[in-house]
Amino acid sequence: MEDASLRVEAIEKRFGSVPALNGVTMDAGPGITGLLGPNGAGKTTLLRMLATVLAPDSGTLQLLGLDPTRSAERVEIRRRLGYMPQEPGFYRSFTAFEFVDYVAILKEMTDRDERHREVRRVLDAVGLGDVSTRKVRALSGGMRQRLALAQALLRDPDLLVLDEPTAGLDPEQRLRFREIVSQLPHRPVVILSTHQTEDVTALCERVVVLAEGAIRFDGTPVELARTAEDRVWIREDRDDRAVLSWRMGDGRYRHIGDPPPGAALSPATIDDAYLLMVGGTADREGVAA
Amino acid sequence: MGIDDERKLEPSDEELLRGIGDGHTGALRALYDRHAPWVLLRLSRRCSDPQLVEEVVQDTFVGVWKGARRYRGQGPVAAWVWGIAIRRLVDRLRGRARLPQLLRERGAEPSAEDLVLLGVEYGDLAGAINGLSPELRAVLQATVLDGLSMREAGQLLGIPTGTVKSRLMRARRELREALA
Amino acid sequence: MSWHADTDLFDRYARGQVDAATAASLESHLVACAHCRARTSRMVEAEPLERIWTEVRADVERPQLALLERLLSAAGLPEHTARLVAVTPALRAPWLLAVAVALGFAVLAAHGGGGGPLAFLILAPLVPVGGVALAYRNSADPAYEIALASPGGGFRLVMLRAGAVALASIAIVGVATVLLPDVGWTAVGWLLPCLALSMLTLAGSTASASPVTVASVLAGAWVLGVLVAERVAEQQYLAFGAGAQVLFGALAVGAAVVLVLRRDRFELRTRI
Repeated sequence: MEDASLRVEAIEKRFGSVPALNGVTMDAGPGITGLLGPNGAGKTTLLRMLATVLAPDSGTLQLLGLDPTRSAERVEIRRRLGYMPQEPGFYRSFTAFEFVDYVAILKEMTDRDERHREVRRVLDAVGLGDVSTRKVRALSGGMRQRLALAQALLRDPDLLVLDEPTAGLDPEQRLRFREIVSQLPHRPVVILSTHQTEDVTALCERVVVLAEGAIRFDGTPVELARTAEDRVWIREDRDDRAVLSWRMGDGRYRHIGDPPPGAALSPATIDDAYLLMVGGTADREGVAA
Repeated sequence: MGIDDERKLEPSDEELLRGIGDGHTGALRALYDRHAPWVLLRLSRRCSDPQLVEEVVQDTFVGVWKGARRYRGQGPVAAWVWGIAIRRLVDRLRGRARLPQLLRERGAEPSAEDLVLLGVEYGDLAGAINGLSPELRAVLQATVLDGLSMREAGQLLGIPTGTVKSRLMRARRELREALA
Repeated sequence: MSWHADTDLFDRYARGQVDAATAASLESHLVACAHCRARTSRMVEAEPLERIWTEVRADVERPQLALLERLLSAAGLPEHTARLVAVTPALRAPWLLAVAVALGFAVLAAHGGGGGPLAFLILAPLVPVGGVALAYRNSADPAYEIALASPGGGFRLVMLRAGAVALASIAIVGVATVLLPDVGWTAVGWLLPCLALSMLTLAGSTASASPVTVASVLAGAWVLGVLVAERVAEQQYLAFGAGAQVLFGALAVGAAVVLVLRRDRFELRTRI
């Protein structure tokens, strides 16, 4: 039985004098793992390493049981890998079909008919089957994002690395994306990064919180929420003793931190836990009210 | 009442063509579902080779895809599609040494009910048409019904243009005589 | 639409059992009536229609082959490799045009000016250097991250593209050589420097991330070196003489060795 997992140990990376990753250790198996963290936390750096594109300064990586620093094993990983980068670039004069076809060639699909069938399959899977002959420059932003996802799905990868796949999508598009990812044919190892906690709630079996190059949490979404248990309270007005507070839809204020005695506690959500964990560095836009 | 209401919810053929012009393969599929069947049937009555008929249907809808922008509302879309189809058939048959492909009229004589159902004063005309020889009927069908030029009709039927012209004249003369 | 034929009549039509006149009438009606068309659809078997549709869709979606791809395929290159090469930015019209113009001037200079073919000989090796640098610098390939993460990207892709550009450049320069005035074997004295500089560009970019930087440095050194040699030495075209040719040959081989030894740098980045 082939190893269907990934293992990351004591990964360090710095760019110049700036440390990007600081001793990151985690592992993941089949199923969807969310990498949650604010901008600049090091998510993209870590994902690039998982996608065998970037080498760490020190530490070890084991992807699908193979070592990406050895060239033969790296090629093998890449045969079973699908990667959606944060800012995918396209040849703008290509049609959607031609772009995915190009990537399919890079993935060593040399038989043209078989390759075209596979291209059609992934385009249909992301709902772009009807616009496959449109040029990329004529596609909307949401469609381009789906196109980037489509190429990652070629050849049914065992390891799927998605960097901010839901960024810039409206709620309906995000819903469609979640459907696609949760309905993949066999259970690959899926790592996706996001700073939207709803993605985690809706999709992920496991969540890893990354902030300032270090892992703050590694467990299930329920466990994450639990870390903020008894640390969330509501009041009519702002309480300065809170670590963070914000106005809710009904005009009252929600607070996280150490509640004063007698405070009206509220059940903790993943949002609360995440914010408590990353404090002032969190990207507030991603938090649902 | 009911049928027309349902139709209003679906896009028109013209709207589908516009979608096709924009590169929407879903629109092509929809148009295909609507028109491929009858085109297939009509072509089968002009060509007895089923394999060839299928290829022509294929050529037709690829032609629809490529030429969608050229449709300028000149008549119903169905007629435009048929124009493409019949010319693709001509293309395929051109230069093929063969006996006239169109035939297959293992048809009975029209019954009285049929003639009545056909409405109109078709009675005499139908009989007159059916009374023509197959070659004359063929040129009539190709030029009048299918809208081909005399040269195209010649290519379709595998005869020289001059023969088309003379047969057409003979057909008209015979019809006139039969109806007189 | 006041008249719709009954189903029985269409049935018989579909089975080819009506006479010519009736068929003609029905066919005319079908062109105008969507309702009856829908009914007729049900009489045709689904299987051939599905099959034909699959072919139509494949036909319509099939990528158009650019002229270059067709040429390469005709030359025997497998279709998928031709596609990878054809996407190379440096093989696009603007670059090729710029090269043609530059060479045109150099040829004119050789005919007219007192410097002989020197301008041409200096320029010729820079053509592939520029092309190679353009061919695989990251910003040239918008999908480079995806390419890097795939088994067919990386070193093999770079070499394929660089090789194609180098060949194309050499071919163009070769053609331009024919237009030069008669200067003997010096006319091909640019070939080995060409190879050496191209190899050095590739090898150099295993050290630095930017092929454009490497190419610029090499181009500068080359031009300077040749001009200095002309000024200083007694022999004309020293930079293209027998001794120099041997030197360039050795450089080309050496750079190739370095390139192969350090090819992992194209496979895995330490910084992006």
